[in-house]
Formats: sequence, structure tokens, C-alpha cells
Amino acid sequence: MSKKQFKFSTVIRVAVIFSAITSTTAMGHGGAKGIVKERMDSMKEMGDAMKVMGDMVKGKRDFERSAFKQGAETVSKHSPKIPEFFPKGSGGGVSEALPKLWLEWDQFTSVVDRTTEEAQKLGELSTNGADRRALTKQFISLSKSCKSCHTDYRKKKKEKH
Amino acid sequence: MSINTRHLLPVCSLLLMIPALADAQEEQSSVTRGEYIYHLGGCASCHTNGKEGGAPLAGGLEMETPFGTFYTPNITPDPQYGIGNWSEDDFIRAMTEGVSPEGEHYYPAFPYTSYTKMSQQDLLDLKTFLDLQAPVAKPSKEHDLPFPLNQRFVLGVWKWLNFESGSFQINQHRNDRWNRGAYIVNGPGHCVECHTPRNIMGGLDTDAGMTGNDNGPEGEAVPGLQSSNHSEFSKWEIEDITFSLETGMKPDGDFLGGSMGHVIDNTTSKMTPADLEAIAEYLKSLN
Ligand code: HEC
Ligand code: HEC
Ligand code: HEC
Repeated sequence: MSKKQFKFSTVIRVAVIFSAITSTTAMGHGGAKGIVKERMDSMKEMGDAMKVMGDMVKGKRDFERSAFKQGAETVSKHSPKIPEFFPKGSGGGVSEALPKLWLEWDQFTSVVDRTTEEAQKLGELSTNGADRRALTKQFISLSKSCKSCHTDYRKKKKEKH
Repeated sequence: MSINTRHLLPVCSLLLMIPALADAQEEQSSVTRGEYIYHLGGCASCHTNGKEGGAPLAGGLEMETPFGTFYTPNITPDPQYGIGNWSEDDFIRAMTEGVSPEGEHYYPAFPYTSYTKMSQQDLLDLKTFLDLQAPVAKPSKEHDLPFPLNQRFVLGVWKWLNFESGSFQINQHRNDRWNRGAYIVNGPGHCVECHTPRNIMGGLDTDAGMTGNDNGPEGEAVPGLQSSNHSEFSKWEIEDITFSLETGMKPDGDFLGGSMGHVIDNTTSKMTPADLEAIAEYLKSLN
């Protein structure tokens, strides 16, 4: 047995003994029901609104101030409802919500408030004749609050194909 | 003719100062470059325990892995508890060979497996920057690993099988931008550490490329970044990639999060547009 083969088998043994490799069960969003489905749909509507504005910021679509007014309204309408969509114990299964959000509820709801405020600010700018630069800047601030909550309280699961 | 020495003196001392000034300038630009490398390397993602309000670079972040729990060490310039006493060689050896100044192996939870590709200049600039950060006199916490994995010599075997040291090699058939992207993704940016599947020993399965990892760090699913196999990602255009790395927004309006959220906050949102484009060009070329 060569040196390399010998060491390889030793390492495999070590790895097998200690591999607590727990594989996450494959799950997608297909199976979501009840409140979990409702919150995913609500999030998805915010996502659709962000996509339209994002495409304009990226220059993939003509810039229209009215789209920012509409998009901001959609987010302002859905965001304040987020806490209702996360009743205690509604994690697990197909949900990507991290259980710690219920332990850090005050922090969780403060990101919700921030998101609502940023969306309202975007709405105001879009009706006050703000230019493209100002709208883009505020859109980015709003984006940061979506990303911030997804960073702290959401964990990607494998999609079911 | 009389020369007024009162005027000559300041001129002379000015002349004497020029080399010192040039040194100071060189040091300043090394610090600025080093700060950028620090962002590229995402050192703060692991060595700053932001969640628990820890001081910058003082470590203590808990990292759960299938092999046990790691606590990141203090890498502030504190001479006793940090790396303030390290020479340039000590630092380069740690980053590129995964070996401590005492000659012990590091666990690959420290991604020296990617940092080994960093250029000498980038590493020296990074050290210049780190040396100027605030020292924190706080000891590093011991890792919590089962026997025999708590024996560092075991790592010698692991490294022998899973680690190849050596700096980044330029691909002559590709342009500068592609090579810059490849350098960042495989080197300082260590994107491969999460986006490439791992073998049973926790080593990177480099043959598989960046095809993703359904069971990434802490059980998180990491998507692939190859343009092949009809993945959702293969439909992303260059500006979709750069925009997502800047803001977190995916082309469908959803937002990235989890550990990638930290990568965006600490690394990609701080990159120059040119570097983001280089990464996008490189990723689009992967099949
Ligand atoms: C306060 C926290 C929080 C904020 C703020 C937030 N999200 Fe979410 N979002 C979540 C969580 C948690 C999930 C995972 C839900 C689940 O799987 O049960 C999620 C899921 C999603 C999804 C996926 C839905 C699906 O079909 O699975 C989209 C799209 C989304 N969010 C978009 C957004 C956008 C756009 C914003 C900003 C306008 C935003 N989110 C702001 C917490 C948040
Ligand atoms: C993915 C998390 C992670 C990232 C990112 C990371 N490190 Fe670390 N680092 C660790 C861990 C874990 C250790 C401890 C390794 C061990 O004990 O074997 C470590 C150890 C070190 C050490 C050795 C410290 C000592 O006391 O011996 C240095 C130096 C270091 N890292 C520097 C850096 C620098 C500089 C960066 C950014 C370019 C960086 N690290 C990025 C996780 C990380
Ligand atoms: C610590 C692990 C980690 C590192 C390091 C990392 N990523 Fe990620 N990345 C992820 C995870 C997890 C996701 C999925 C996040 C989500 O959907 O919420 C992701 C998603 C992405 C996506 C979106 C792909 C898609 O199909 O949704 C891109 C693009 C990306 N990463 C690029 C990079 C680049 C470039 C780097 C290096 C600078 C990098 N990543 C480093 C974990 C990581």
C-alpha cells in the first residue's frame, strides 16, 4: 500500500466516525400551506414590485417615476403585515424562516418598521418630483432593509425540482 | 555675495524630508490598498463577532461545522493575544500555507485554502492595514472539537490530501478582466469555499467546480454559480450579477440573505464596479 493510500484510509475512518453530516431534507416552496403560504405570497408581491423598480435602476427598462410610486405603495402595504404572518411556531417544514426570529422578536419587528419607513420615503420622493438619482438612492436604502432581514432570519433550503 | 543661511536651512531640511515623505506616501497607499484587500477577503465576516457586539477583529465568532465548533481567534495587533508580534513571513505563511508561527497546522475553517492564491503584494498590504487596527487584549477562545480532530497533527494528513499551496496562475488565453475575476473568486474572495461541493473530509471537490452545495455551512443550501445545467443562474446577465452583489437583489426581485448576506455586506458591496464586472465575466464563462 502506498503512503498516500494508507493515509487516505485513515482519514476516511476519522471522517466517518465524526461525520455528523446531517443532510438537510430536500424541500421546496411547492408544499407550503396556510400561513406559511400566505407570507410567501405576500413576500413575493413585494419581490415583484422590487423587480420592476430594480430593472429600471439597472437600465433594463425605461425609467418611470409612476412605477416607483406604485412599487413603494405595494411594499408599504405588505411590509406592516409581516409580523402577523409569522405567528409563533410557524417555522420548520418548507419554511426558510429561522426559528431565532421568535427569540429576537423585537429586532425582527424593528427591521419590519424600517422596511415600511423606507418604502414610505420612496413613495413620498416619487410624488415630490425627485430625480432619478434620488429615487435610485432611496431604492437602494429600501433594498438594504430587505437584505438585512433575509441575512439574519432566513436560511436557504434546497429547492425541490 | 552673501548667502542667507536663514533661508537656506529650511530648504535643506525640506530636501532631506523628501525621501521620508515618499515613504509616508507609499505607506499610505499600502494602507488604502490593504483596506480594500481586507474587504475582498471578508476577514470581518469571521473575525468580528458583530452579532454579539464584539470588537472589530477580536474574534470569538462561533462556527458550527460537521467536525465540531470553531471559535475564530483574535487577529487584532495586540502583541499578546492578537498577531501584533508576527513578522511579515509569519503572516504570509499562515495565509498561504495554513501554518502558525509555532509550526502548527490550521484548520481549514480558516480559508487559507483560497488565500494561498493571493499575491505577495496583496498580503503585505493587508498586513500593513491590519497592523494599524485597534489592539484588543482578549484571549482567543479554544475550539470545541472531538478527539482526534482536536489534535492538530491530524491536519497534516488532511492538508496533504486536500490542500495545494501556491499563488494564482494567470490564464494566458483569457483577458485581464477574466483573470482578475478568477483571482478574486478563487483567491481573496474565497467564493469557492461555499459554492463548491465538499468531499467527505470537508475538502473542496475542485473537479465539480462551483456547482453549489446543498448542505453548505450550518446546513444552508448554496446555489451553484455555473452557467451550465440550465440553472436559474445561467439566465442571469452581467448586470444582474453585479447588481445582486451590490444590493442583494436577485433578478426576480427576491433578496439574497443568510451567509451570502454577510458576504455582500462585508465584501461585494465594497468592491469597485470594475471588480464586480470582472467577477461577473468570470462566472459567466464557467460551464
Ligand atoms: C422582517 C424580516 C423580513 C423583511 C423586512 C423582508 N423579508 Fe422577505 N422573507 C423573510 C423571511 C423570514 C422569508 C422566508 C419565509 C418562509 O420561508 O417561511 C422571506 C421570504 C421572501 C421571499 C420568498 C418567498 C417564497 O416564495 O418563498 C421573497 C420573494 C421575499 N422574501 C422578498 C422580500 C422583499 C422584496 C423584501 C423587501 C421589500 C423583503 N422580503 C423583506 C423575512 C423578511
Ligand atoms: C470563514 C471564516 C474565516 C474567514 C473569512 C477568515 N478567517 Fe481567519 N481564521 C478563521 C478560523 C476558524 C481560524 C482558526 C484556525 C485554527 O485555529 O486552526 C482563523 C485563523 C486566522 C489566523 C491565525 C491566528 C492565530 O492566532 O494563529 C490569521 C492570521 C487569520 N485567520 C487571518 C485572517 C485574515 C487576514 C482574513 C481575511 C483575509 C481571515 N482570516 C478570514 C476563520 C476565518
Ligand atoms: C459563506 C458562504 C458563501 C461565500 C463565501 C460566498 N457565497 Fe455566494 N451564496 C451563498 C449562499 C448561502 C447563497 C444563497 C443565498 C440566498 O439565496 O439567500 C449565495 C448566493 C450567491 C449568488 C446568487 C446565486 C443564485 O442563483 O441565487 C451569487 C451571484 C453569489 N452567491 C456570488 C458569490 C460570490 C461572487 C462570492 C465571493 C465574493 C460568494 N458568493 C461567496 C454563500 C456564500
